Amino acid sequence: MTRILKPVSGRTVDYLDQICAQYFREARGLRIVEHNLGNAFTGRIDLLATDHARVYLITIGTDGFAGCLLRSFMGYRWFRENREFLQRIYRAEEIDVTLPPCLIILSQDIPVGAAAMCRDVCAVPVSLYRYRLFGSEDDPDISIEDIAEPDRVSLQGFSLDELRKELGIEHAGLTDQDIRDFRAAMGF
Amino acid sequence: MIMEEKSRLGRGLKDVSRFYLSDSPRDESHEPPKDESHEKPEGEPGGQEPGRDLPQPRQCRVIRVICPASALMGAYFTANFSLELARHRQKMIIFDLSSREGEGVQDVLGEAAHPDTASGVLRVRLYGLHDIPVHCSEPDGEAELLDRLNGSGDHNGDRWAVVNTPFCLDSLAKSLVDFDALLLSTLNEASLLQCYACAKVIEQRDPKAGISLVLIDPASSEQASEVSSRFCTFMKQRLGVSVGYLGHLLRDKALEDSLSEHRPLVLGFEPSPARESLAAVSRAFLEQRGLPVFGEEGRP
Repeated sequence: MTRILKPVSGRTVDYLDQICAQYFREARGLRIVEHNLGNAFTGRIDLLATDHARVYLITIGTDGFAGCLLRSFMGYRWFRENREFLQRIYRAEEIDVTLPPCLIILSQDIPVGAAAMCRDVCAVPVSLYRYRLFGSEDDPDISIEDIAEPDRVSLQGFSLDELRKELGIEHAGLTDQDIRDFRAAMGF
Repeated sequence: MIMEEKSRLGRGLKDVSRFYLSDSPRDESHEPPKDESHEKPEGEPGGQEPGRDLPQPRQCRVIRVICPASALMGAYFTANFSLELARHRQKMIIFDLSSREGEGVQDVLGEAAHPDTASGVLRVRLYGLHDIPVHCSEPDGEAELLDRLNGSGDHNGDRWAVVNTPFCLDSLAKSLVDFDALLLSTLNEASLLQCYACAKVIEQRDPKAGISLVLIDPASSEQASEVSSRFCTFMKQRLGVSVGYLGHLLRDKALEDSLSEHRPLVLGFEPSPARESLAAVSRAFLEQRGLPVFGEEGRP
C-alpha cells in the first residue's frame, strides 16, 4: 500500500509531542521523564518514559514509517551507549535506566505486518501506535491507536482477576475455569 | 448552470447521489418475507455451518453494534453498515451512544449527515431511498433511546435501529430495550474474550437475543473461518448460544481515507477490499434473515 503523507507542520509537531506525552501518561500510566533527548545525528529519543518496570524510548514519526523506524533504532543505540551518563543525570526514583528498554514508535503509516516483523527481528520489544491528524493545521485533533497485531497481544502474564478488571468483564461473572476453557478452545 | 449545480449539490449529497440515486420508486411495501430462506453452502459467511443454528428472525429490530477493541471501528461499522442496508431498501435509523470525541458515528458520516431543523436530529438523505435519521446520545442515554424507539415517528416498527454501543457490560445488562447484538472483534485474545463476556451478559438478559460475529482484519479468510468456527462452537457448547458468523472486515487505504476525510466508505469511494468486505457482511446479515439483497444496479 502506498501512502503519500502530507508534511506535518512545526506547530503540529509541538502539539503532537504534547498530546502523545499526555496519552502515554494518562492512558498507559507512564511517567514522562524527558522530552527530546540526544540529537538527530547520533540518535534522538522524543520521549523518555518509564512505568518502573521498563524504560520506554518513544519516537514520534512525522515522515514515513521507514524513517521513524531508523530514528527509533538510532535512539536506542544512543540510549545504550549513554546509559551510564543517563544514570548519573537521573535519580533512580525518577527513572531507573538499567531497567529493560522497550521501543515505542508512533507513525501515521504503519505497514501491515510491521509489528510481527519487529518482533522477529528486534532484540528488544517494539510497540507500534498509529496516530491520525484531524481538523486544521491551526487546530489539529489527534487520535492514537495501539497497533496490536492479533498474535502479539498476550494476556498470559495477567492473573485472572487482573485480566477481568483490565478487560472490564467482571460483570459477566466468568469463572477462572470459563476463561481457561475459552483460552484452550480458541488455541491461545 | 454550473454555479446552480454547485449550490444545490454539496459534497456529501454528491456522494450520496452517485451511489444511491436511482429510478426505483420508493417502495414502502417491502416487508421481509417471513418464510423465505436463503441458505448458502456450509462454511460461508451467512451460510449454515455444521451443527450451528442461526439466529431466527425476530420482531425485535434493534441491533446493537458492540466493538470492544475500537470505538472508532464501531462507529465506522454502524454508519457504513446502515448505509449498506439502506441500499438494500431497508429502512434504517441510527443511534450513537458513544461519547468518544472524534470517534462517533457523526464523525464518520461527516457532511453526509445534515441537521434536520424540523425534527432536531441529523439525517442522511438518500434520494430515491429512505432517509436515515441519526440520533446522538450519551452512553447512559438508554431512556432517550427507549423514548425515541417508542415515540418517534422515525421508528414505526419496520425500521432497523442500529445502535452504536460502547463496551460496558453493566449498561448492556440493564438495557431497557430488547435487542440483537452484532459483535465486532479483532482476532486477539483480549477482544475475543470481551465478546465472550458480552455474549454471556446478553444471553442472561434475554436468551432469545440473536448474536452475530464479525471479525476485523484477519490475516486471511482461512484464519477468520477457523477463529469464528472455534468461537461459535465454544459459545454453543458453553452458553447454548447460536452465534451467526457474518464474515470479516478488511482495512485498507480507502478505509483510512474515509475516516480521515470524514466520509463514509460506501459513499464516494471506489470499490476496495474494505468496502467489498463491508458489503459482504451486510449481505450476509440480510441473507441470514431471509431479506432481499439488491445488486449495485438496484435490482434484487
